[in-house]
Amino acid sequence: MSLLRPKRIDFRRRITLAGVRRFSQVAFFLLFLFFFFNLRDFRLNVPSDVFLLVSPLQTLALLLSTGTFKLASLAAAVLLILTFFFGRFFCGWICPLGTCIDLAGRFTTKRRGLHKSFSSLKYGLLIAILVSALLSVNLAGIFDPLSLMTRSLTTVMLPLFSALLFGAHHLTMRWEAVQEISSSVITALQKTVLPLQQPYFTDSFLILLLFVAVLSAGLYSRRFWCRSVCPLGSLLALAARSRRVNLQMKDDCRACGLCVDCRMGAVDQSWQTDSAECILCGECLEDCPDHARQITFTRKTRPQPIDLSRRGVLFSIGVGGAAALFLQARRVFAAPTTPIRPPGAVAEKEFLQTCIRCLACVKACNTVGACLQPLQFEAGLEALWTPAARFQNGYCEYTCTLCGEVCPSGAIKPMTPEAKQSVRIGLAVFDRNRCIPWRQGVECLVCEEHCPVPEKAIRFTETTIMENGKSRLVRLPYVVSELCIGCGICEFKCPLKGEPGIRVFPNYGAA
Amino acid sequence: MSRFVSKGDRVLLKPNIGWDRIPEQGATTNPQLVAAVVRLCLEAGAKSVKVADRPCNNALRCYRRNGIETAVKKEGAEVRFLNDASLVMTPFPQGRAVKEWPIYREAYECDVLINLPIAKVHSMSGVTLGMKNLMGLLGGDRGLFHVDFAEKIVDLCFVLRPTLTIIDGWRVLLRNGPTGGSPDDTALRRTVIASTDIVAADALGAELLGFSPNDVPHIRRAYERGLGEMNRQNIVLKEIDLGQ
Repeated sequence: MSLLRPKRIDFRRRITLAGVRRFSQVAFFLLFLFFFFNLRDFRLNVPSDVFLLVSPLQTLALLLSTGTFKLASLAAAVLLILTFFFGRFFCGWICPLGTCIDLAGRFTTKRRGLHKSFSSLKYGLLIAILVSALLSVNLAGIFDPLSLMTRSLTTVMLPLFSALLFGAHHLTMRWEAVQEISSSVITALQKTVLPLQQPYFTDSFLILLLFVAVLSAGLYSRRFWCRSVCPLGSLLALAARSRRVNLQMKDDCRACGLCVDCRMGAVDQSWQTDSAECILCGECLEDCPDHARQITFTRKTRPQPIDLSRRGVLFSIGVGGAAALFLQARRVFAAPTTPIRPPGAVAEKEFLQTCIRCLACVKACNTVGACLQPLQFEAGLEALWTPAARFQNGYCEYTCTLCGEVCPSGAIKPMTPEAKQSVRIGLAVFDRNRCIPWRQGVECLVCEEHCPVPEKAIRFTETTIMENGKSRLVRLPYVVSELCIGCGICEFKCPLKGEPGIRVFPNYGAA
Repeated sequence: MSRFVSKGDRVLLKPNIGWDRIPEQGATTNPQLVAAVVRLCLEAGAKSVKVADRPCNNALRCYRRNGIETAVKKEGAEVRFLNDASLVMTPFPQGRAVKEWPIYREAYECDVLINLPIAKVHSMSGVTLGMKNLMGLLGGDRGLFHVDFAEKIVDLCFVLRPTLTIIDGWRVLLRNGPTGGSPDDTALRRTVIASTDIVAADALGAELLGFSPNDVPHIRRAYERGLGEMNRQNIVLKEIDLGQ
C-alpha cells in the first residue's frame, strides 16, 4: 500500500467531481471579484450585493436583531434549502473565502492523516452570535465569511494591489521610452479597477490580522477556519445533517486510508463521511485508488454527533448574552464619540444592528471622495468595522450617491442626488484659533471656494483690523448652519497642516 | 490654428474641468468648445492631442459629467488623469512669491499648450480666467497657493506660457463662483475670446464678467510686471460674429 498518490491516465474519468468543483471555485471567485471591482463610480448596472445577500447567517441575525427581512435575502433561503440536499456545497464550491483558504493551503505541502478540528467552537460561536442578535446586538458581520472577504479585499488587498500598480507606474516614469505607454495604461486602469489615488485606511490593521489568521490557520490543519470557526459554515452544517447527496464507500475499499486526509476532517478512521462537514470537494473520489468512493443519493450516512456538551451550550449562550450586554452598557455609560455616518444611514442604533460590516460602501467611496473609513474602537466595540466619514482622509462628493446604492443590508438607504444633497450628515465649525484669516488676518478662501452648496454654506463677513497703525479690511469666513450639509470638503481641503481650521462635527442636537 | 500648431506637434489642452458639474452650471469649460479645438489642432497636423486638468472634485466624475471625456474622444483626443508620479519640481526664476513648485510633467511633454478656461467669478481672485486656470497643472498643496495669490499666480504665468488662451465665454458664471451649481447664477454671453497674450485675454474676459481689469489684483499685477497687456485701447482686437 503506497501513500503516494497514484497517477492515473484514464480518459474516461478525466472530468472529475474535484475538477468541476475547482472550476466552480475559480468561476465564482472571479464573479466575486467582478462584483467587488464593480463597487465603484460609473459601475455596470448590476446589483453588487448578490454575494453579500446570500448568507443565511446574516439574514437570520438581522431577523433576530431588528425583526426585518429583506426580500432579496430570499437568496439565502434558497441556499439553505439547497444545503438540505447537497450539504455544505457552498463552502466547497462557491465561498470566496473558502477558495482563498484552499489557495493558501496549496503553499503548504504538509499532509497529515487526521486533521484536528474543534467543531464545537463554531457551534458555540454561532449560538453566541444568535443570542447576542436576539438581545439586539448584531455581531454576525464580523465573522461572516462573505463580509470578511469583502472587508479584507477593500482595506487590505486593494491598497496592496493599488500600491503595486501605482508603484510600477511611478518607477516606469523614470524612463522616457515607456512614459507614454505607462501613462496610458494607468489611465485605463483608473477608469476600470483602480481608484484615482492610492487607498489609505487608518484603522485596517485588525482586519488584516484576522484575514491573515484565517488563511494561515490552514498551516495548523487544512481549512481550519471552515470547520472550526466559521459561523456560516456552522449554520450550513446544521442544515446539512439531513442531506440527500453523500459521498460513501463501496465495499471494495482496500483501506488505504488516503481519504482520511480530508480538508474538512469529514472522513473518520473507519472511512465514513460526516454529512454535516463534507463540502463535496471530491478530493477523496480523486484520491481513491480503487474508485471505491462514490456519490450516492441517500441518507444512509449519518452525521457525527455535535460534540457540544450542555455545558458548552450554556457557556456560548452566556458569552453571547454577556457580549450583548457589555457592548450596550458601554454605549450607555461610556458615551463614546458619535461617528459621522454616510448620508442615508438609518438611525444610529438601527444602523449598528443592520450594518453587516462588509465595507462595500467604503470600497465604492474610495473611488470618489474617499471619506468613508472603517471604525475601530473610538465609537465603541459595537461599532467595530462600521463605516464612518473621516474628512481629513477625504470628503463626501456632492453629487455622489454610491454608498447607499451599493449597501447590501439597508443600513444606508439609496437616495437620489437631490435627496442626498439635502441630508445633513454633520455641521462644519470654524476653529477661529487656527483658521488663517481669523487667526492672522491673512486672506484665505479655500473652504469657501470648494463649498459645493450652490448658495454657499460658507460666506464672508468683513472686518477692519489695525496693523502697524494702519487699518486694513479682512474677510472672515463663517458657516451658514442652515445650508451646511456636512460634506467635509472644507475640512479636507483646508491648507492648514495638522489639525484643519474648520472641522465637521456630528450634528446631533444641533439647531 | 495652423499658425499655432505645426505638423507633428503634441498638443495639450487645459480646459477647466475642476468641478463635478454639468456645462449648464457654468463652472466648467464647455465640452463642445474643447472638442472644436481638438478638431482644429488635428486638422492643423497635430500628432497627438491630450486633455488634462487636476480637478478639485474626483477627476473621473468631473470628466464624465462635464461630457468632455466622450466629446474629445470622438474627435480623436484622449483625456489624462494627472498622477503624482509625473510631478516635476520646477524652479520659478522670475518668481517673487514662489521659488519652486511641483508641476505635472504633461505640461512639459507637449509642443503646444492651449489654455481653455471658462469665464467665472471667484470669491478671492475676483475672476477666474486664463491665468487662474493654469493652476490646474500645479501639483502639491494648492491650498497654500492662495495666500498672496495675485503675486503667486503671476509667478506661475511666467513659467507656464500657453501658446494660446481661449476663454469660453458662452455661458459665464456671475455669482457663487468658482463652483456655482445653480443655472440662475449663470448668464449667456455667447462669446469666445482667443489670444496669445494671456493677460489681454483675461482683461477682456474680466470685462465680459463686468469687472474692470484694473480692479482685479492678479490681472493688474501681471500688467505691472510686464507679462502682458490689459488696456483695451492697446489690444489689437478682431471681432468675429459667431452667428447662432
